[in-house]
Amino acid sequence: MGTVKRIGWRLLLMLPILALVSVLAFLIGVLTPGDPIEAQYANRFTAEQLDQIRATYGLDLPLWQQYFVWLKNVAVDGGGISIVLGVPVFDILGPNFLNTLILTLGGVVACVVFGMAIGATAGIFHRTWIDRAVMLIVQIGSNLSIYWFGLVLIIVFSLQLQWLPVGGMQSRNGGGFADLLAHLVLPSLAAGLISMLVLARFVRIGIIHEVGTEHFKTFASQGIPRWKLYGKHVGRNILPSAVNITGLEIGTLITGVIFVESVFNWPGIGTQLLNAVNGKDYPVIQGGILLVAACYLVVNLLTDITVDSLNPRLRRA
Amino acid sequence: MADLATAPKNASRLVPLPGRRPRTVTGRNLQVGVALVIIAVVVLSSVFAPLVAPHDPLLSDPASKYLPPGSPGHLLGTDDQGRDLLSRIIWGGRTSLLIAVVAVAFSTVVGSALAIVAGFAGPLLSGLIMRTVDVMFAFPVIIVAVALAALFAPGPSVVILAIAFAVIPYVSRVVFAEVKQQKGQDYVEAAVSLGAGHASILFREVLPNVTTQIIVYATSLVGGMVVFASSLSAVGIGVQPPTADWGQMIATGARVVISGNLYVALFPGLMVLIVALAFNWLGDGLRDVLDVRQRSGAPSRRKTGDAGADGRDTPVGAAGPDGHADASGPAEEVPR
Repeated sequence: MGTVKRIGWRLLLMLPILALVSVLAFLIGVLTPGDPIEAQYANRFTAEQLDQIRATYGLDLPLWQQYFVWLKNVAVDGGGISIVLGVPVFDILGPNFLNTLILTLGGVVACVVFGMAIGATAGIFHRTWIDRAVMLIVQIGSNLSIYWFGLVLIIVFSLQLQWLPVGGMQSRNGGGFADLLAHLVLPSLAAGLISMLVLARFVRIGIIHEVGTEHFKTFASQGIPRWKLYGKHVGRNILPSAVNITGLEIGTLITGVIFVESVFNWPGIGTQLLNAVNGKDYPVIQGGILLVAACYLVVNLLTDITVDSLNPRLRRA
Repeated sequence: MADLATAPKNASRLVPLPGRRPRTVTGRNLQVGVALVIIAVVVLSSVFAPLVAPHDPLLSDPASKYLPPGSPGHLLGTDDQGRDLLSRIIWGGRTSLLIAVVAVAFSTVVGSALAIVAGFAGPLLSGLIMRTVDVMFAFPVIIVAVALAALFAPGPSVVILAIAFAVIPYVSRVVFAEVKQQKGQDYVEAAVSLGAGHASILFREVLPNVTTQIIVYATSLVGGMVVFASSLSAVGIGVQPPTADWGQMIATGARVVISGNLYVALFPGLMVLIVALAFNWLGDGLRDVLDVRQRSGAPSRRKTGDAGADGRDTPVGAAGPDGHADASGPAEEVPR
């Protein structure tokens, strides 16, 4: 089976999921108790005018028609008009989306770098106190609430040590790339926390397994330096599963990112979504949910392709 | 001692390698004991909160704002409204634990039911259920939580349903693997040959043999869900103020951290951590004591021809050589 065909097949499988998410996102706007139009305009307009407003939002059509109107809105008209802010949804979400992407990327980097490092340390020093100490830290870390961990990071590194900024994405007077990086460090660490520890466990187990294999023992007995073995053989063999785990962790990471945005006042999609929930701004909620879900599915697909290319043996399957 | 000193060099191989010492029964018992004590204290103080708590958790007192820990009458100090932190933590335990336990119990029942149906149904229904579970698996739960919060108002029910969405895939994978494994056993075959029907095999043969695993697994999930629930409440889509809840308290504390009042957020967060660790230890301990071998519910993206030759799968399911898989099952992969 060719690579193209397989990717095409996965793309095809994505569509029903996306359709399902879009129906659910649409239903949020319909099923919610209370009429948003009435809530927003009732004190200013007559019943007839309210009906007119409903018609402009397409709220007088049968349900299935509303769904397609909404889909067209999402596809063509920027996701409909925010009820609270009165501008197209994707005009609101667009810049925030980029910010969230930056933070997610930071989270992935933190996850991969620290996850690999922690896992490798524990795995290479297996059966020593280093392994046990690292694994204790991993266990404690896995039980931390991301929100609280972010807060503790702020307390330690921003308030006590004053090394890094407290929150937000940029200093008040702007500050370019270095400034952004400084703002990115703590949120990335917090967002990637759970994922990096999951990855660390897999890397550790992977290393322990690889070191126990016959080929490793043979190479080691031939006097090939350990670091070379770890780099060339162990690393190469656990890489596909590490990528796979990282890909599976994207969902967790997105959840973490949204928690973290709330702690660090990061101007991202999570902050926007949580605000929209409080303001009952359904178009924004619907657009945001659809956007995040679509991104998640795309990343999922990309991970699959990467895992494929890293492990040719899977291609036969 | 003298024996050791005079022993031949290679005899040292008989002495357990450092770090290889098997975790002894007493060590495990100690761990389970500590966990049980912590859980007992927290559960009892939550149940008897009205009797135990020194103050009303909702009673604000502008005269005694931000009292530091150790103040007379306020062991852990007070928050931004002068409410007693210790009382709020005790009452908060009620909300936080109740949400986590109810959510996990609910998801366990639903997840197990799905898995058992999938285990006994034909390939079509079975495939449909397990594919659906695959899609739910690793889907960003926060999206579901936000959608639920938009549908219903933010509150405990949102947290419970969001947790259910996150946990059901894990439970059903574990139970599905378990049911499949049990179905292949001789005793089931014997029952079939005796003419037992589906229902009889299910309820009289398989179910009694998987309940222990299910309960142990569910126990290990509670801690993580206390943590996750606290995060949801902290970002405002869970328990709403002024109700005392650990997540809610962390959020309240987060707002006053900048003014130097750190402990308002620190104490509830520590409680979440301690309780989560205790449930983890209890789960681990139960698994060892009851000798439950959990089949990994860890996901594999695609069925492969031979899992053995698949470099990806080997580390995933492999236990450490010391028999203790520290990637101890999917329990720890549930998002927080």
